[in-house]
Amino acid sequence: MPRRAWLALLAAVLVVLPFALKGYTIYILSIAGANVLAAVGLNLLMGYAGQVSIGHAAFLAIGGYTSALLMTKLGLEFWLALPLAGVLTSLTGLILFIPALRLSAIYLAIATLGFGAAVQQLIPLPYWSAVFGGHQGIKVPRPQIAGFVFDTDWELYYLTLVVVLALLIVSWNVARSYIGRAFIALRDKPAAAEALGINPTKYKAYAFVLSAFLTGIAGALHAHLVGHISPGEFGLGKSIEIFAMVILGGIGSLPGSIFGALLLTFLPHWLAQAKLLYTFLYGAALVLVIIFMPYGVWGFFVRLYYRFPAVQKLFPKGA
Amino acid sequence: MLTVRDLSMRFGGLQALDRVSFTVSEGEIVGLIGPNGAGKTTVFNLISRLYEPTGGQIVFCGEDLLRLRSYQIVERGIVRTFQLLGLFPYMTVLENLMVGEHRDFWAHPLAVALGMPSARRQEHDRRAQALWLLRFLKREALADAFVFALPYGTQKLIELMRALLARPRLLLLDEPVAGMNAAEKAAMREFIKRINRDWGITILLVEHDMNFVMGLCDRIIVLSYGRVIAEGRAEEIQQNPEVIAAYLGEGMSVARPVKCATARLSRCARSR
Repeated sequence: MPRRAWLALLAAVLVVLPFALKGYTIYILSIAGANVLAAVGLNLLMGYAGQVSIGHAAFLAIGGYTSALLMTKLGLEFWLALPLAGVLTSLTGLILFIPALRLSAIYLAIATLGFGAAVQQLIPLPYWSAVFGGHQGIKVPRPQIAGFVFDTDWELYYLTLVVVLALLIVSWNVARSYIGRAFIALRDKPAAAEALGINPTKYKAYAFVLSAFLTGIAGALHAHLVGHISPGEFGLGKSIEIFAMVILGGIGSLPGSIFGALLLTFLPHWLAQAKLLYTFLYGAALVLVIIFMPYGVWGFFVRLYYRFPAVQKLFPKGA
Repeated sequence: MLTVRDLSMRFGGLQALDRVSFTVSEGEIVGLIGPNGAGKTTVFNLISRLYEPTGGQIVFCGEDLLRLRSYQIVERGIVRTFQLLGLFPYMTVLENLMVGEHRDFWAHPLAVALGMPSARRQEHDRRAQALWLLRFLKREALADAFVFALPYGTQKLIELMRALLARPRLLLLDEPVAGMNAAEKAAMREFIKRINRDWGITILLVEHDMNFVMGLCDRIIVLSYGRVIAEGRAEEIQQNPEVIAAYLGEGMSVARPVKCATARLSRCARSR
């Protein structure tokens, strides 16, 4: 089957999926959708542009709070608040871009760590607790478009699905364009990239803006799905979680990030039945993936594909 | 076309280039030769603005190159290749070539992100152009191959193709035939002649294979310890006693290639 047919099939499955699932699973699937966006956003920055960030939870927080406050304080409609939250977050992405001009990988990681910590500490300060709600956080209104309120799990699922798919197409367009190639070129051979006319400052700025935009939208979606937002959610643990999604799925591969985000969102819920052993099993699962799939889950499948000709017939190249 | 005047470069205590001056005229093929460490690649790195010179001037078509940043050089029509390969290893050959066309991509990032027809058409046209060049050199089978899996000589050729797609007026080639066999070298020589003659591209190249350089270049500049020690046509260079002492060694003739090791030996002999 050609690629389009597979994508159409996948889309059909995603559309009918809620009819086959329980309400709670549908909700988790929506949360996973938001995580997919965050992972793809971080992967474009880290896997493509080679800029390490372990402070991405800050962008989730900024996106979430912005969208919520635009709706509650300024009375904006959801369809306006959501993209504006993305745009505002992308502008804060430029804050990280400035140290990135001078720092290389591991030092940039520390700078982003500081950024993440600073944002998490700034939000609950008493000076603006009337707006941000301090440590307790604030209630986030349900998305609402032209009077229609999305408040059941499956309504929220379809809304999330549309937003996530649209932004995945955007990410795909950028990754496969001259901009995506410029990211990789600057990552692997900066001197050669510059000699061919790629302006490193410009493309690093693009990478940070795009990454922060996607992560900001992810944060906004997450906040609207949960219905509440507080600074406690956005610690280092959250940043590492997105980081792990990217690495587990396969760094530098967009389908990999989708896989990684789905896996790390559902894994805790599957393992929750094991109660006391939960944390142990979660950690063990991560270690096993890293050992046996060093190129991530997606990279593992790609290698299988090249090893077994039968699979190549089923999914022709380019799919 | 290119004028280098009193160019100096010092790395800490090492004077890599000492008041180097030379010119390259439009339409020429100029060879830059000299023993290892003479400063040949440093000259390239200065022209492509990777390094900031400690003194001197580089003027290209009347414009002071030292005012420009590295990524602006290609827009003026100077493109280079790298001694140790500047290809992007995790891209396919076609993607590498399309990075060579970077200066011809002008679609707005938003148009790209939204997949607008203008951006798609541009991508499509550039791809067609890169594929045309691959077919022209009978390498179309390599389009989707990953670069790191290709033999060294092929990679050198792909890098040259990528440089050509950047539409150079002056092409700087750093060891274009290193790691190639005799047949590949001959093919490369013909190809470079053709680029020069048919496409009107001026060429400045660094190469250690003396047969290749002598048979190809209109003019040769010899560097040794950061200084220009000779300049002229191939026959003049071969007879120049200073060049023989510093680099070529005794008994150099076009028919017999001189290995780098020989050159280094003769340099040692001289310093003793």
